[in-house]
Amino acid sequence: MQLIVMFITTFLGGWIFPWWWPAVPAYVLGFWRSRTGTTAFLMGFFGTAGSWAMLAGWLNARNHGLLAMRIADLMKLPAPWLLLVLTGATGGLIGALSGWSGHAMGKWFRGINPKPIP
Amino acid sequence: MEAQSVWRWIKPWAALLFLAMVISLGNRNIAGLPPLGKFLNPFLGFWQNAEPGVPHDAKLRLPGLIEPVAISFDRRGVPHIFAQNAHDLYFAQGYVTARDRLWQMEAEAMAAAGRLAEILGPDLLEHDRFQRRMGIPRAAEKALELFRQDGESYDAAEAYAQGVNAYIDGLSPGRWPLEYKLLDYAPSRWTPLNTALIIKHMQWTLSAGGNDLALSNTLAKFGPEFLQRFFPSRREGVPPVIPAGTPWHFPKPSQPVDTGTPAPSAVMPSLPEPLPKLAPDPRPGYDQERKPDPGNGSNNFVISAARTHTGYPLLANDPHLNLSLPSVWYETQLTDPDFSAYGVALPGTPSLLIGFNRKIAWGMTNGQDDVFDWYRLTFRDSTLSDYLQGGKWKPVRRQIEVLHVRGAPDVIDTVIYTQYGPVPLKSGERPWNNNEPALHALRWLALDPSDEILATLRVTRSQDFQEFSDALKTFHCPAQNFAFASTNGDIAMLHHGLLPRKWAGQGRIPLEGSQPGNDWSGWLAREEEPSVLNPPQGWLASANQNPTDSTYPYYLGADFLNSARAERLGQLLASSDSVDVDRAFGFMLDDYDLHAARTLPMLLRHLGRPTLSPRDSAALHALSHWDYRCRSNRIAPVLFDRWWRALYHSVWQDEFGGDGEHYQWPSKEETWRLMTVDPASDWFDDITTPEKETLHILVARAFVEACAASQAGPSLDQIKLRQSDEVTRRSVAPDSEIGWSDTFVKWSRYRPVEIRHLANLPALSRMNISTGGCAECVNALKSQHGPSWRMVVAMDRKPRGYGIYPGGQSGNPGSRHYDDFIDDWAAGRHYALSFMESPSGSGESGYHLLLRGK
Repeated sequence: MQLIVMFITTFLGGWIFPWWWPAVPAYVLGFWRSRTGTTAFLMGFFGTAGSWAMLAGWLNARNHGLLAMRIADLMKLPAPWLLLVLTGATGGLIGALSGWSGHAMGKWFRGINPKPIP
Repeated sequence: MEAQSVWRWIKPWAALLFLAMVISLGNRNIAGLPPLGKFLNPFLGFWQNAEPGVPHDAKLRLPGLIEPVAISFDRRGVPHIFAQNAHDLYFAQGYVTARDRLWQMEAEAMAAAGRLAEILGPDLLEHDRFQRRMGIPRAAEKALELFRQDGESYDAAEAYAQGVNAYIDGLSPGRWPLEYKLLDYAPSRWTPLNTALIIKHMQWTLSAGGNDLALSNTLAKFGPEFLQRFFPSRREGVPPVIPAGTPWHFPKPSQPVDTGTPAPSAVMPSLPEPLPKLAPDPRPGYDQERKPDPGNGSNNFVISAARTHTGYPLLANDPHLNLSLPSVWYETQLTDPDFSAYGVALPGTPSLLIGFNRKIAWGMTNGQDDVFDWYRLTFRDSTLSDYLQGGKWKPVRRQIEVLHVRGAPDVIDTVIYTQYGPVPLKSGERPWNNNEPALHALRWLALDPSDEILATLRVTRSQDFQEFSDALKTFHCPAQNFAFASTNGDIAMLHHGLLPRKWAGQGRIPLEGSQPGNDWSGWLAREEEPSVLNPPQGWLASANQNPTDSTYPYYLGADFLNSARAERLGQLLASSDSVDVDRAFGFMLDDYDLHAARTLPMLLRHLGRPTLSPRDSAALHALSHWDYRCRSNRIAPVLFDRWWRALYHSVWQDEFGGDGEHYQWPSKEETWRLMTVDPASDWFDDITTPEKETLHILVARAFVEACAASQAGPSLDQIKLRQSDEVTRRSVAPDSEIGWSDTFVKWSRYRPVEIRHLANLPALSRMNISTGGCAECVNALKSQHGPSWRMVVAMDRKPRGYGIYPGGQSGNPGSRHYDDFIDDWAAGRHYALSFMESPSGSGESGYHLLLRGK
């Protein structure tokens, strides 16, 4: 459920907000919803990596890989598909770090104001 | 317990800080890479530049348009614009050009303005300072003032700017061109000043290639006789642009006739010190020669109806420029109720530079006239406040230039102006391209206000020769050889531009600035310019050679290109009395090396029949059986080029010495002449050895050297080449030349053609293109320089145009139109240019755009 929310918010906000936008929903979800640091991390990673890689993959397919080939060359990547991996991983990293960071904050916050996780 | 609770407190804040650091890292350029987070983000980053196939038809509302404009894009991505008034026409031209070339236009305007450091940082500061010191941005401002006075050109530039800005306003950051994302900056608004800057940029390319300083060093070292012998401003026997014997329609002037050598008064009493030697600039992308390419030139020719297959005149033109991606040209058809014209424009300028309309066709080659001179100044003291002129001290004018630098504080520079022009280099400063003497003023025609835009606006609307000739009136800098043909059968060639009235040799080397009378004394009148209409020979051609024979009384310069290309083109045209479009393209693609054809037999004679190693006999065999064609799979052109270079070097290196690059060496043509007319000359002796060398000995030594150097071993360079591009591997085709062909490097490997991205990014460039041609061929193709647009127009009742340029209509590396013409261009093919009569019509169309006002 968290993953789906993460995926959808990342996708919708991506068109308007700067590239680090996924950090915002991931932090909030990590803060309120994640039971462990690991789940917060994975939710942030796959929610963002999924939406980023999917959109990049679709744009790439429509373009028959023309631009990816040139950019992979520019960034000294041995193969264009690695660019899709790098795109997913970059987005995923932000989501994951933010989810985990949000969870840590939530845990500390609830340590001061104990309330059961609903 | 205590430690654990501290950690629980620190952890969330440390994690947040770490997150912020990662985000800030993703926002920054690191190690030459674009900001990774921004760049890879598929919503706003580079993925958005991955264009899908053919766009759909669209209707757009744009503020500023008066009436609707219909635009049809054909299958090659060429826009055919149909507007109902001139304002809307140039508005739409600005809109579509920006859509395809926005980054290129802005980058070139910024470069001309000396503002690259604003976007690229401190590395570009010296470039920017140079542009300011040469006075280029101020000259653009003056030109814009003149546009305002003329009205018509300002209106066009303003409408064009509105169109560009309408496009920019409709762009979300996700749709910015790729290069903005790579270099991490935003497009700024387009102004008519940018158009003036683009013109200045082209004027720099075409008129700032002089060698005054190097020539004066040569004069200082060898004296005036050497100059007279090896650097004549004219050679008899070279076919001029205006055919020999063409009568001049003006009274003979009273002033001295051009004698072909500098007058004594042009020789300076004391000569400048040779320039200090400079280490190559280590910064990536700045290791290339910055001086405009001396081969910047072109071919054009016109053939009268009587000599063509179709019975209509033909016009052909191929401007030779630095080849780049995005391409220097943008193809467009412009139509309003007054006219319809098809051709190529410089992105950033309204109208067309080369093309045809329903009645006329025109093309240009650079005139090569000398409009770029230096004046030596005597300053009163080191404050450089006053300079000596006519026995009096005159104050300089100072212009403050503020240079913005990305990521660093502004830099303030002061440019000194004199009555001649700016003083680009103060003493002790490092010259930018080894061509500027310190404490000299620059007199350069491009710094005077002129309105070439007005000329192009009127030319595209001209209906016959008289209108065309009148339209050119405001085309000042630099002078061009304008070829002309019309449907009513006229052919013409006009050597036109603003031509300073000079004494013979004036300004070949720096002039004494303190003496009155060394200034340019006015301009040639229009009727004094060399021109010809409908010559008896039935054809006209220009290839940047001297425009006239020796009966022409005025001195125009001494930088005309050597004659091999012009001579070959003349031979082709004179020997063909039934030319058609394909044949005309064949002439432009001619890869016969006339320099080799007249030099190689002499070299082989000097070489005789020595005892040679099997390798060297194979080379000799290839050379003896060469047909002088420079084709990609040949080895002979490589062997000859190396042989000639080694020989040329051995003839002059001993005389010019270790710092030889600071001198102008005799051209290869003059060196060939010396070998032909005086084979026993003392110049062939190597003065650094006690023995007496002869041409015979030099030729033999150079031959062995060339064979060894041409051997195809897996040298480091070649391994790099192989790794760098798949194309190389594919281009190594089996060769049928001789059994030894694999022993030697082939022409395409020796001279691979590279079309580089303007920001010099190899990944966005096309490297190792295999194609024919050579520097001296009519198909004057060097590694990064050559035919940037090949066009032929058959002047049928409805003119039919054909053309191609090495690039593609789109500047977006994510578009299939980025480089889709290159393979056809390299193979020598061309396209039929579809001159549309209406926007909806033919099946030529890819898609339509309908623009309406808001």
